[in-house]
Amino acid sequence: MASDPPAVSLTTLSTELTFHILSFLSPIEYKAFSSTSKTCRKACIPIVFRRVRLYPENIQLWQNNPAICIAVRRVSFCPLYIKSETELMDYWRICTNAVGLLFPNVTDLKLLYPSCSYYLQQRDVAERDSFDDKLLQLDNRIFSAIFSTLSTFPFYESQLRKLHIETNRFWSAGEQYPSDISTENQEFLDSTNRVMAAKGLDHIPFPHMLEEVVLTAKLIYFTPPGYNLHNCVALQNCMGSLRSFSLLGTPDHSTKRFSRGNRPKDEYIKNPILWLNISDYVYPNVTTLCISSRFLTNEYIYEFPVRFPSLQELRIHDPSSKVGSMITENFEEVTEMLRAFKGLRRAVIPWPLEDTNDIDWEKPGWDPAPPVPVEKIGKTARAWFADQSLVALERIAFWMWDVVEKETRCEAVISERRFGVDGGVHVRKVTCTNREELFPILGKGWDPICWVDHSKRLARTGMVIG
Amino acid sequence: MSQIILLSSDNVEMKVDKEVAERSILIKNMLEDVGETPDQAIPIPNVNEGVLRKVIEWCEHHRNDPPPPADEDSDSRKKSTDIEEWDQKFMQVDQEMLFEIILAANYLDIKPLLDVGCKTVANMIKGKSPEEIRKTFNIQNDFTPEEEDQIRRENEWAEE
Repeated sequence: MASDPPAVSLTTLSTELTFHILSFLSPIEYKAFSSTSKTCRKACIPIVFRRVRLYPENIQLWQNNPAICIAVRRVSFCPLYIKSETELMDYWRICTNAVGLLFPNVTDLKLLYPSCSYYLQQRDVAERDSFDDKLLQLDNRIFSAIFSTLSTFPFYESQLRKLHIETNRFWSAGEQYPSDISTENQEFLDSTNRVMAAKGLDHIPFPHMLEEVVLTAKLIYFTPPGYNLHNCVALQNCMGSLRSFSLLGTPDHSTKRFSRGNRPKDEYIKNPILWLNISDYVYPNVTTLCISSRFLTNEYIYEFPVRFPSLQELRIHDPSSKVGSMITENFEEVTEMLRAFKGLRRAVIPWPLEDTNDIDWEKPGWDPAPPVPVEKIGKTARAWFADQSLVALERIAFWMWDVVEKETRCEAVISERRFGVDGGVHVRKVTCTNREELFPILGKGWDPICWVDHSKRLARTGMVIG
Repeated sequence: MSQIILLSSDNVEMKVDKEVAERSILIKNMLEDVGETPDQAIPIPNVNEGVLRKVIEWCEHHRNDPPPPADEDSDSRKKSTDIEEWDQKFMQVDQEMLFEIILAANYLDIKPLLDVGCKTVANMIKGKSPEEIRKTFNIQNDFTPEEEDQIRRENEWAEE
């Protein structure tokens, strides 16, 4: 040891090294670390405040903390505890204006349930099942107002790289067009028309530098800014810059709708490509595509490899818990589609908990005899299995290996989800990386799986055959 | 097997296999620039003997490790603070040595060692309250109660 070295300690490390250490921690952990001293605090601000949530109530506090505002990259909007239409409109009027003024470096926006949380809070799920066109119109106006306000700020075009919108609409049948909208809010709604007229547009396009888009919605009703989101018109502007594209359905709720015999509107049944209107567009630089399993039954799935020529990763998200039946129904087409992607390196296929009883496992498509291998698909394939039936697990495992992952490694993550006393979902994962490892795991009896029936908000318990 | 000589900041010479020394990208690049195995000692001005011995010990043990996976899996790497057993034992040193190793790994550009060091520190922070973190790392609390209150409020704005 040198006789008198400068003391080396956690607080004397360079910011770069401190960040590297913090990168191994969760937000709650680096928040604790940042609260230890002034030096730590100062060093941690760029990390702790990268992602923030904006409320009308904390805008004052933000205004007094420019140092923190500079650090902000992603702003989330989540009007959750809204009690009236006026409050909802207030929220958006205040927050959309604030984001442009407060955060000079914002690059990501996340809008969660932007227009309907009021209804979600107020209504019983069973009552929300029917659809009210008047409220759809209002919803679209709110949406357009949000985007017409955002698009007046320079950051919208010059900085915004990632947009995440999650909507879920449920309304009761007899609900009336809300009458409690203040003049101020009416003006906020009306500003849409002015902005669009000024721009000579009939919709607000997404910013042209956008690289990542996540749209989560009950697909058939998803109408993004400009009244027309289901046609993805807003995306036209960023076709060239887009690298990652997710078009998802909301979990569970949408299933319930359909499982009760509700069907999508006729026009969607007749022309399923409307669900994701990609026919006119090519997204040359999209490398990651995440779609709902519903698209697997879309008769136009052969379009996907054409529209997304650079795709490397295909993720299939499963809001309907029926990915199995989707694949079964359209087995040849899905296989064909996977083969047609020239550069596909990874396919991620989930295996959900519920609604598997009605899957016809005896259909020939599910025969464990390997189908024709898919060439050029390499590296990793990953499946999340959380099914109650071993047969189902085995079969999808075979499918994954034989169709997607003939030659290389496959990782199966078997999830067991629990809803703990804390209300959280607990997931245990078992990972295995080769075929031989999978079967002993499949053969083991699992603990009971708890899951929540969202329509009743009750936990149900099912046993796994072991 | 060709060997090279490293010279620590306190002027101690150490002979190591070239392959071992080349775990350090800094040294590897240096040797590539020179083109042939140099006769003179390579000075490592920022690292003293004790730390350099420790770093070499790590490089010896990990001499045959495959190159770290490409960026593709960097997300999963970030999340996990799992450390393999040998590395855990290796990192059972006093804090000053731990941070010296981190600094040396950073200077010498030995990414896996840097990660192990930083994960070790991260694990010491994990699950602790601010007060416990202060105790662990001997950090002086220089906040007034009002400031602490303010920080608690500010933290609520940030997303978990």
